[in-house]
Amino acid sequence: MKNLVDQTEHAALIKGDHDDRARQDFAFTLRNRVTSDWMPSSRTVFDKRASAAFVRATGSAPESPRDIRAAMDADSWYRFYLSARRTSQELIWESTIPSVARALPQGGEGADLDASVLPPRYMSAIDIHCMPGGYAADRGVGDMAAGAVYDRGVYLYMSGLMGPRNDAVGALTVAYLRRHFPEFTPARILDMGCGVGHATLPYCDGFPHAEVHGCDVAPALIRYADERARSWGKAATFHQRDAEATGFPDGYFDLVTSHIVLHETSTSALSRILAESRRLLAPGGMAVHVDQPRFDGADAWGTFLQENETYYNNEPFWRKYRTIDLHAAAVSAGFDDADVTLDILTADVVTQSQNNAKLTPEAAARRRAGFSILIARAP
Amino acid sequence: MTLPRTARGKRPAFDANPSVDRLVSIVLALASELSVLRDRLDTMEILGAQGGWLASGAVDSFIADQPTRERRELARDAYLDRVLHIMTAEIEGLQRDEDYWATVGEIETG
Repeated sequence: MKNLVDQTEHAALIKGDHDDRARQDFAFTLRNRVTSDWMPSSRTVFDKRASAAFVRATGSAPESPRDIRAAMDADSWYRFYLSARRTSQELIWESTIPSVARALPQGGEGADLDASVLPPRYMSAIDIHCMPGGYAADRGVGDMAAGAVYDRGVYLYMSGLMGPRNDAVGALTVAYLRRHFPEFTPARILDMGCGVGHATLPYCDGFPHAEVHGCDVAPALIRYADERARSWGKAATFHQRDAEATGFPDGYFDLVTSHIVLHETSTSALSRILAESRRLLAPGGMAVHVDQPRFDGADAWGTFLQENETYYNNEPFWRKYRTIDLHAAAVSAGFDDADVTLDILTADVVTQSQNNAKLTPEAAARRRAGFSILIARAP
Repeated sequence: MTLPRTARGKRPAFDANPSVDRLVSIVLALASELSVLRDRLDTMEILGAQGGWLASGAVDSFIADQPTRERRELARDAYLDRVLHIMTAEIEGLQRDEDYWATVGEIETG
């Protein structure tokens, strides 16, 4: 699955010269081959070969995600696939970094920066998604390099399915809110862990009378977000703040959101972010957190596949996050049980982010593939 | 100021023989470069046909002058940096003391 519409230009976007772009095009093509073709093929390897080899070696059929991992790890095609898959991820960054390193982009004068905000350990210890230097890298006043690499990389990584403005997840969530809560018209919105504002800007269009804010601990992403938003004439303000403790006053926002952020945090940070979103809500306000759904306990194959993100793509919290009961976590964070709901958002971008994993018919009957959307309201 | 080219976090081993992983990375990087070259030739052919300046046989009879030879040598060196990057990346990893799974444990329980 892919979308070949080119990424929409803006003042901060760096695509590089002819060969940079050709290299990026190749990374795009290879990534899609790996996720849309080889990933589903690994199921064939399991069914036709790896499962039987596991039975011969152990005397029992592979049933748990752990069994399946042992069966697949013993297969050479699978190991070659994993190796190539890792390389395809690295080639995304290899193809985007050189043009940014040459340009050394500067900007983001409108960003609200606070150098005392330090990246938490879950962002600074490992380069998430294998992006060299990490999202929180800051190379001094005005530096936007990490934002420029990330913006281009996300487009390639998601095979264009994030849309030409990399905003599909935000747009999907805005559409969901307008459909399900047509009376809800927030005056002030905060998007937590906003990165370069991919999911933030759709709120400017969806709620044209609202004041839209985004916050992230990564200064180079915030500067880039500011430059990108202004280039498109979007009135959003970006702050260097930690979603665990934003420093905004109690009840300051009517809508607090995050998009595919929670699984990049940690067990205790997740609780603090949910509690912070509760604290920030005005009466009648709404917290909306969109991310990968919980693992389906009955779908051992799907769980095995998805856990590979932690094994092979620098996703240290992904495996654990997908076992957490978000509804219970929201209640622990101070929301009333009756005010919390979980639903599913579905789109091509979601399917791609889950590697186009084919569901067994039984698993498909039980679950709808999609992002989980946690909605928690303040009374 | 430079941007790093390798990510922090231990690179997993996929094959029992580490050289297989090195070769996978090198072969795909080469495939990338060949793909770039094909796109570039395609661009040249389109531009050449549009401008009417790419005569038949012109490419085969072309002799590079000294500045061109020097420029191409620099470009090839940079090309090898990209294709053989996996070797450098491994060295960079060795130079850093990092324990990926210790950090996973720290984050899962932290």
